[in-house]
Amino acid sequence: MIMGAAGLMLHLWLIMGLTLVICALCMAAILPRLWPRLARFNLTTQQQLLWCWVLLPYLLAGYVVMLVLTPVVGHQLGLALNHHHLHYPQGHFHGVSWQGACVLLLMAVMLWWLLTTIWRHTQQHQHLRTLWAFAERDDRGGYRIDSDIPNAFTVGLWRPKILISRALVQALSAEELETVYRHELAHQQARDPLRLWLFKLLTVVFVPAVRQSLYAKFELLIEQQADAVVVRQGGDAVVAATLVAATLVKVHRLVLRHQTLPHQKTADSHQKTAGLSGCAFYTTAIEARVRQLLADDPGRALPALVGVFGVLLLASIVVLTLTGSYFTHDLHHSIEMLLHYHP
Amino acid sequence: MQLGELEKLVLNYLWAQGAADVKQVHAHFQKTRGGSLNTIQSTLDRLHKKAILKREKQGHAYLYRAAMEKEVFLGALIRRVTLDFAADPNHLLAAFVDLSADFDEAHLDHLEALIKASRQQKMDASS
Repeated sequence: MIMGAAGLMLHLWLIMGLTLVICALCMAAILPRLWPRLARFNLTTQQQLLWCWVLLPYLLAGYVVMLVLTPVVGHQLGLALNHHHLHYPQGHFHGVSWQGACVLLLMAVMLWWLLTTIWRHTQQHQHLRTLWAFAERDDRGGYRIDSDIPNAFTVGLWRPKILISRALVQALSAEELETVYRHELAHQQARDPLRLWLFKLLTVVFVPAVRQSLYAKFELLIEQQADAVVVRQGGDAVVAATLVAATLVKVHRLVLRHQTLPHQKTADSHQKTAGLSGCAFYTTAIEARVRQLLADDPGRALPALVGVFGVLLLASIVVLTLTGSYFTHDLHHSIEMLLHYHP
Repeated sequence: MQLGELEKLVLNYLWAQGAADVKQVHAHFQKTRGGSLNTIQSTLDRLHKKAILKREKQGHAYLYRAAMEKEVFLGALIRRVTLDFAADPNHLLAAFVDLSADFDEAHLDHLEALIKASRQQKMDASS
């Protein structure tokens, strides 16, 4: 039996882990019904809603942990008014129990995830370092590389850099190249690689299919947002949107023709299957981006009042919890009974 | 695959020259950055072990050349960076084109027609 603060920590770890898992599973069941509703909103609102969605399991887990600790914390803060008894932070954690098995499983999963993530990032970092070794800075602050693959991308978590291949530079007109460059600049200025990484980190609690679906949707929104930035900079919105859409199609065509070259077929054939799976709405991301560019209706925004109401609601729940109101008292004891946690 | 500074310089030299033995490579770099013959030999050996260089025996010495053209090598490098990232949902780059995405010419033709129709429609609406 593990007692004292260590026992309490293990209990809290278990509570947080179980809440995350149960919450993520429930949300996975609801998500398919919400995708169609998401499309009604504009790009910014859709991103905000996705962030709320992936943060929700962590907020709920934090709230449940707070419920367990409420009597102690509320009392120490002088907020708890109607306490019939005090719960001291002394947990008795029984290692040989279902709680112990769950904690071990959670720790093993987390350790596995951490190690594989570190290994993958190390590999990616090495590949990137080699790539940068062969890139040359251009006159606009981006980088060029002597590659036959027509593409451009922004990469780097803390100091994102733009890389454009010479094949793309040679194949596009000045106007089209400017479009591509501005698109990548929008990614750089918005620090999109970092946002992608943070979003990916938060989706780790979801099952793989849901995780990929959420990530694919968020990635698509990031690209659409960068397209929208270029359109806004272009003066006439219709002309600019058409130019961006046409450039997108042209670059995709260049990539497709490059991939169908005889010496490329073997190398690429096994990789083409790793497409944007789980994006329920659209056939491909390019179609979604083109349709977004050509759409007359950008979607609606969430009224500011909704955000204010949400913050007030959250604050109220926290205050009510810390002051040990009636419902929190019952919830707290329900959790204790569920986990057989009685100090 | 990770390449050091000297490895990169040697590779660039061989791409420019075509083929060279260790003495020729050393003679070239002695003017610009110095370094011993052993250092150049080690670099060439490392690149050969990484399968970036090929070599054939000519007399007592090896003649080294790049295993692939520069554009092909860099293309493979970019593909490794972008597609490896894309195949793994943890990728951290924002690419203009997702190289792993599934699309074909017919799909692109359809999108082009969509763009033209939309442009025409909007021009007619504005006039």
